[in-house]
Amino acid sequence: MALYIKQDHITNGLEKSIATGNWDVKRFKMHRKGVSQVLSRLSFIGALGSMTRISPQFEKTRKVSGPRALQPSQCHSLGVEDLALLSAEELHAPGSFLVIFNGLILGKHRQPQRFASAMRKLRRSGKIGEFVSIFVNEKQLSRADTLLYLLVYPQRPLLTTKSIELVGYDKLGAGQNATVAVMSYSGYDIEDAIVMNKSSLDRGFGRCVAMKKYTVIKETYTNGTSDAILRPNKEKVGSNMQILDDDGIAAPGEIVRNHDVLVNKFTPRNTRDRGSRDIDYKEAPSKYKGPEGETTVIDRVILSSDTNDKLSIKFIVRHTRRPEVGDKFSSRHGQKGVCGTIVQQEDFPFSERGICPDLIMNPHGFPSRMTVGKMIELLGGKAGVSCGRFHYGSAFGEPSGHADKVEDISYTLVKHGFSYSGKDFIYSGLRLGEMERDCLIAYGASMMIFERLMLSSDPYQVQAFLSWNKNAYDMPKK
Amino acid sequence: MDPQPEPVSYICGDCGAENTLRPGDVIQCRECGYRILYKKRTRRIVQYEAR
Repeated sequence: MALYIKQDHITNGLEKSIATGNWDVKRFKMHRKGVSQVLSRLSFIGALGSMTRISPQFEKTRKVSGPRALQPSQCHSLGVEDLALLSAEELHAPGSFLVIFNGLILGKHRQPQRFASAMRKLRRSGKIGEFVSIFVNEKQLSRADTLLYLLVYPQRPLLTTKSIELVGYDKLGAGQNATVAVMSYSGYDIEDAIVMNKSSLDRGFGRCVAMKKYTVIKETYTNGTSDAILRPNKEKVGSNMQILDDDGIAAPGEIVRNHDVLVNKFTPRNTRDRGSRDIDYKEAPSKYKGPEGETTVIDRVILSSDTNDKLSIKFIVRHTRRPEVGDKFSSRHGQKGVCGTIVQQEDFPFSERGICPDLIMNPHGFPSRMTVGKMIELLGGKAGVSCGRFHYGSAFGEPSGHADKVEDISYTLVKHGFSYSGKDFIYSGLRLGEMERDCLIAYGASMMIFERLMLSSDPYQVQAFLSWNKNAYDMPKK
Repeated sequence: MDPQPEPVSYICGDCGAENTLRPGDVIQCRECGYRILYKKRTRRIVQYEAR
């Protein structure tokens, strides 16, 4: 009987649907996509959000129901998740490690490694089922993720909210505080584009590290032959094998460029039938493929064997990136925009205190989107840096809580010599030409014209030599 | 094939012991039997651009 039935039919089916996320039952003509998804672990908040994700019932009517409208069917289950987070808040004390079982928090422990080995002993003695896996959660950097993005200098937000405290965003930041000027500048900022300060980027603003995994497997074939990894022939010119060690594998710390060889691999020519003793090999080097001119660094090289007992070599390649034109940036209010141009700090506007913004945002992004929270954040952030206190960005300042009302923030701003509205005087090096003069005349801003065309250009200071009624520079030299 | 290449040493992912492997060896630590090994950092001089 067992000969005629495929033993792993159900196992294979389950594995396939978990791997692809598709659930197909041919008998009922049921095809559903995305039943299971790979948990996104790019960031802490991202992973949390990925776990709360649910798919709406009416997928095909998405256009009709409006993708941005609230879907009432989602409210309930999101609320449940919030409750679980609330109880988790007090557990995030430093030096404590959560004990999680099937996604539920059982308690916390101070020495996770000891706890895990004690649990493993229990499992060994048969008190816990053999299929229960016990492990101490590794950190992102010791894991070998396919892709990992890291911000180089994450900062704690100047303006906090209740939900930020709940998810621990103030402890594990995922953004940076920027000095923002909301103004129009240079025409490269239309349609939500952002103008960025080149010197800020030099100082490390918005820099990130991308880690990518490349796997090379030493294949074994049906006729008993296998790939060979050999010492590179360093004398060979133009082989791109400079970064290889004597074992034919690139070492951590080496700089990798496009077409560089990571593993000096050879494949047997005949992989089908069992031939003679001497195996004829052909070159099959694993090369790194990346954009031309980009330099990346090998972060780690892991040697292990995969499920089929083949040698697998994993390379974690690290690339540090600085913002460039076309990169997308976002505030916490979903106000996203593409970097339109990068301008030298010398050409950037500055305030009367000499403060230069990190980026300039176009004010046209505000009226139609009505992101009141962002306006409060702009005020609260400015007040926060002025007085050295983390402000609370809730829209409702109640007398019992410690939330700041906009009025309170305005008082702080006035106390530190700013306008209550958060507006500031910004000087920019833009030219006031003839056309601009016409505009000012038409508007009747006569004092502005006077200041720009007379005071800012004509007057100058000289050292006068009063007794000879001559200027100092006309004096004959001795 | 080339003459036997010099063995390169690797670091165990669990106990941190140094292991030397020859081509064809099983990937396993000799001290603790852990099956994940890490390559050591290059000994060549590298110069990174820190811009």
